[in-house]
Amino acid sequence: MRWRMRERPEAADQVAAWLAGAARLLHVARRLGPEHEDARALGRRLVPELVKLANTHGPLILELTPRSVVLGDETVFAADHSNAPTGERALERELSWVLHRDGLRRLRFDPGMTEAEAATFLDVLVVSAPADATHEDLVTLLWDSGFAHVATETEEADVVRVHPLTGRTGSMWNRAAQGPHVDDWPQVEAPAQDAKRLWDELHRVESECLPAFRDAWARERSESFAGAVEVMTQAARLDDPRPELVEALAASVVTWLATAAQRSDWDEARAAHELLVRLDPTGRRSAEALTHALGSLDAQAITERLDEADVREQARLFAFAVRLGAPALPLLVSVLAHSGRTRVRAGATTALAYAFAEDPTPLGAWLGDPRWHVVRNIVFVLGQIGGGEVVPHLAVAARHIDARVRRAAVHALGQVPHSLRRQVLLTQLDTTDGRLLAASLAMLAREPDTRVTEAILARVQSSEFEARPEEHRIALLSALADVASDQALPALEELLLRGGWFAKRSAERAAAARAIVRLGTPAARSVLEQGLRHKSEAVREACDDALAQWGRS
Amino acid sequence: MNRTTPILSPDDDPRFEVSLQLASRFWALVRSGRAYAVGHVTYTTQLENYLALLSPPLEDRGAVRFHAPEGDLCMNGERLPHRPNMHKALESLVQEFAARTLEGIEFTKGLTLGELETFMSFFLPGERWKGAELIAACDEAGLVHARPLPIRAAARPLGAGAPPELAPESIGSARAAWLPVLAGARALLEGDALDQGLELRHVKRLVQPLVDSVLAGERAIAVLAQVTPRESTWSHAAHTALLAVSVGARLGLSRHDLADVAVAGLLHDAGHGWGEAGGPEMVEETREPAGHTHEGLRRVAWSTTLNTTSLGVMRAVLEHHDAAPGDHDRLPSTLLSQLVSIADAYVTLLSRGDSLDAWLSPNSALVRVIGPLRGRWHPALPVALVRALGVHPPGQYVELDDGSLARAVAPDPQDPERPWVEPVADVRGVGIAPAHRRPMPLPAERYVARALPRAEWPHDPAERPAA
Repeated sequence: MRWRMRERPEAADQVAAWLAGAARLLHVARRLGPEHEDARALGRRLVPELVKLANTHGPLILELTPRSVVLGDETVFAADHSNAPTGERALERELSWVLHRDGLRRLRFDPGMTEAEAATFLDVLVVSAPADATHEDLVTLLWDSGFAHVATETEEADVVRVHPLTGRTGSMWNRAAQGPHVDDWPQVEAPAQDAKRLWDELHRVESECLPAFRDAWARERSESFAGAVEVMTQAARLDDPRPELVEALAASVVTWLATAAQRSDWDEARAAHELLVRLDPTGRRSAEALTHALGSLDAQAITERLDEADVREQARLFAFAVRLGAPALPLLVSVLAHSGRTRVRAGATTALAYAFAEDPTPLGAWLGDPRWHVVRNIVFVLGQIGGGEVVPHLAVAARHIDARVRRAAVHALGQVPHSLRRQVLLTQLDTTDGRLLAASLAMLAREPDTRVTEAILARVQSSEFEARPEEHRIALLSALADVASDQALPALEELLLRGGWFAKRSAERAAAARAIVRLGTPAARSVLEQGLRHKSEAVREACDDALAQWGRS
Repeated sequence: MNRTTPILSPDDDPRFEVSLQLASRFWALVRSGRAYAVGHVTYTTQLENYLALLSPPLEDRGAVRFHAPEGDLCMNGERLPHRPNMHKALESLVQEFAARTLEGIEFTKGLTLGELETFMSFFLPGERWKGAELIAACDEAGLVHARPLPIRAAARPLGAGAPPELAPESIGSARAAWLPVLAGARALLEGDALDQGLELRHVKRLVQPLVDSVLAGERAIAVLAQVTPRESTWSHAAHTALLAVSVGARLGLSRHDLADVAVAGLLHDAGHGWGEAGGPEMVEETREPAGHTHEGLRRVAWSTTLNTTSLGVMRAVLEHHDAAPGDHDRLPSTLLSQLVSIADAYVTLLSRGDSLDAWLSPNSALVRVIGPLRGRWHPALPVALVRALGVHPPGQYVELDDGSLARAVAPDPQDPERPWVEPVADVRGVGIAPAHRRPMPLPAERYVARALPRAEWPHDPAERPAA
C-alpha cells in the first residue's frame, strides 16, 4: 500500500489530559467564579503540570481551531459541543473556541517555563473566557503578560466593520477625513534656536516631575471606573447639551451596563443604571438600546453563576432587574428557563411580578415562547400580578397547546375579578382535559351566575354531551347543581329518566339525581318522588338513594 | 446496498442521475464523519457503499472530479442540474470545498477503500487541514487516487493601500509595525467606518507591534520626518499615536497603558469633519455645529463599548484641547488626555502651513510646544516629549561643528542633543546622494552646531516635499 497512517506524538496523551483539565477549569470558573476554592484548587493542580509538560516535551506547538486543538497531527482536544445548533452558545464556552476566538492560531510552550508563567497563562485564559464580559481579548491579555516561554501566532481581525448595505467600510460623507487635517492649535511664536535653552530648563526639573507624573498616572489608573464615567459625562454635557450627545452617552452607558450584567457584577450594573437614569430620566432615548443589549446577553452563563451564588447575590440580580423593568424581561425569563434551582426560579417570578405589576403587557410577548415551562411560569407571574390587565394574556394562555399551561392559566384566573375571568373560564367547558374542566367549573361555581348556568346547561343538553367522558359529564352535572336553580331541573330530570323502561344503572344517572337533591327545591323533591314510581328499577333506585340524601346535602 | 432513486420530473435529465447521487452521497459521508470516527465500522460500511457507487463511473471515465469554480457544483466539468431534493446537499458540498479553500476533489480509477478512508481522515477535520496544507498532507500520506484540488488562482489579499514612501533604513525594523497602524488609521477614519461600530480591542491589537517596537528601542519615531503640510486626518492620527506612544514610553508607562495611549491617539480627532462640516444628522439643522471635541466624543460613544480603554479615548477626544490642567471650570483633564494632547500639538504644528514658507521646521514646532504652550500639560510631558523627539526632532536639518550638514533621524535615548543623523552634505558642502545616505549615531567627536531654519534647508525633492 502506498498510503500510511499518521503516528501519535508521545506527548499527545499528556497534553490531552492537561487540556481536559483546563477545559474543566473554564467550566468551574464560569459556574462558581474564578475565585472559588474549587477553581483555585484546579488551577493549582494544572500549573505544575503545564510546567512539567513544557519542560519535558517542549517546545509544544498547539494548533488551534474553533472545535479542536491539535498537537502535531494529533487532535488533543475536541469540543464536546462541536455541532451545537446555530444560536446556541454551548460551543462558545469550549476551550478550543475560547483559544481560537480572538485570532490565536498557534500557541507554543517552551522549555524553561516557570510556575509563575503557567499560573499567569491560566489566569489569562479564565479572565478572557467570557468574551462578552471583558474589553480585553485573549491575545491582548497574553501580550500584556509578556511571557518568556509562551509564544503565540495570531491572525489579525479587521479594525472596521463592513457596511451591511454598501459592502464598503466607509462612504464619501466624511469629507474632512479624506482631506487635510484641520489645524486646530493656536498660533504661537517662538524662535527655533530656543530649543536647547528650553531643554536645559526642562532637564533641570526632570528628576522631580517624572516620578510625580508616574505617581499621578498610577492614581489616575486606579480610580473607580464608575466615578470616571460620571466625570466624563458631566464634563461632556457641560459645554454641549445637544440631545444627540446625550443620546450617544446613554447608548454608551448601556453597553457598560450590559457588560457588567454579563459579568454578574450587579453593583456595577446598578451604578451604570443610575447614571443612565440621570442621563435619560424618561428612558425614551435608551430603552431600545437597553432592551437590545440585555436581550443579547449570554443569560445561560449568568444563570449558571446565579444557581451557585448565595441568596444575597441572587437578591442583587433580582433587585437590579426590578429596577430596570421591561428591558430586563429577557434576562429574567432566561433565568426562569435555565435555572435548576427552585429558589432562583421563585425569585425570578417574584421579580417579574414586581417589575411588571403596573403594566404586564411585555409579559404577554413571552406567551408565544416555544418552551411550555417558560410560558407556564409567565402565566404564574400573571396570576401573581392579578387584576383585570392580565386577563387578555391569560385568555391567550388558556388556549395554549399544552394542557399544563392551560391549567396554570385557569389557576391564575383565580386572582382576577369574577366578572372578568368568567368568559375565559367558559371557553374551557369544552376542553378534553378533565383536570382543566374540573378546575374551571370549580372556579365558575364560586360565584353563580345565570350566564354560567346557561353555559353549563347548554353543554349538558348538547347532543355531544353523551360523547364526552363520564368524568366530564359528572363534573358538569355536579357543577350545574352548584350554580343553577329550578331552571336546570328539566335537563336533570331528562337525564335521570333517560332510557325509559330500559334505563340501566349509571354514574351519570346517579349524578343527575344527586344534582337534583342539591337543588333542594320543592320541585326538585317532587321530581325525585315521581321517580320512585318509575317503571325502571334503575331510576327508582337512583331516586331512592337521592332522597335518602335529602336534607343532608 | 441501499440505493434510493429520486423521482424524476419530466424535465430532469437522467444523464445526471449518477452524478447527483455521487455528489449528494459524498456530502452524506461528510455529515456522517461528524458523528462517526474514520475507522468506525458504520463509517467504513458507508465508505464501502460509496466506493461501490463510484466504481462504474471510474471504470467508464477514469476519474470523477467534483469542483465548484464559480459556486456551482460540477462533475467532470459539467454543471450539475438543480433538483429540489438535492439542492441543499449540493450547496453544502460547495460550502465544504470553500471552507477548506479547495476548488474541489478528485477520485481516479484504482481507488481502494483504505485510500478513501485515509483521504477522509484528512478531509473531514476541515478546521485542521485546509488548502495547500491539506493537499500537502494528502501527498505526504501517499494518496494518489483521491486528492483535493487546489484553487487555481488565489485571491489577492486585501491590502491597506499604497504605503507612503519611507526610507527603509531610517526606521529599520519598525517599518513592519508602522505600516499596519497607518493603514488601520485610514480604514478607521476615512469615510463613516467609525459609525459602523468598532471594537477597540481590535484597534489595540493593531497598535501592539508598534508599542513593542518603541519599547524595543527601534527608531519608529523617524517616521515623523515624513509628516507633510496638509497631511490627511488619518495620517495625522497615526503620527499622533506614534508620538504619544514614544512619549509614554519615556515616561515609563507599561505596554498595557501604551496600547491605550495609542488607541486614544488614533481616535483623538474622530470628530473632525463631522462637527464643522456637518455630519449627516446636521444637514437639515440650522444650529451651530458642535466643536470637533464633542462631535468626536459623540462618535466614539456611539461606535464602541464603554470600558476602560474607550473611556480613556473619550476623555482624550473631549479634553485634548483643554487650555491647562486644572485651569478650567470642569475637572482637570486626565494625564492620558494630556499625553495625547501634547503629541497632537507637535504633529499639528509640524504639518502646519499651506506653503513652503509657512511650513514649520521640526525644531520650530518643538519650541512652540515646549515653550509658549508648555503650561497646558503636566511638567513631565514636555520633558518626555524632548526625550522622545530629541532637541533636533526627526526631519530637522542640522549643521554639525565641522560644517557638514545632516538630517536628524531619531534621538539618542541617552542624550537628546545628539541625534542619529543621515549625512546630507560633507564638510565641503558637496551633497550626498540619497542612495548613499545611511542613518548613524552622531560621531563622538562631532556635535550639532545649530539647527537650520527652513529657509536654509538644502533643496531635496526626495525628502519632505513641500505643499
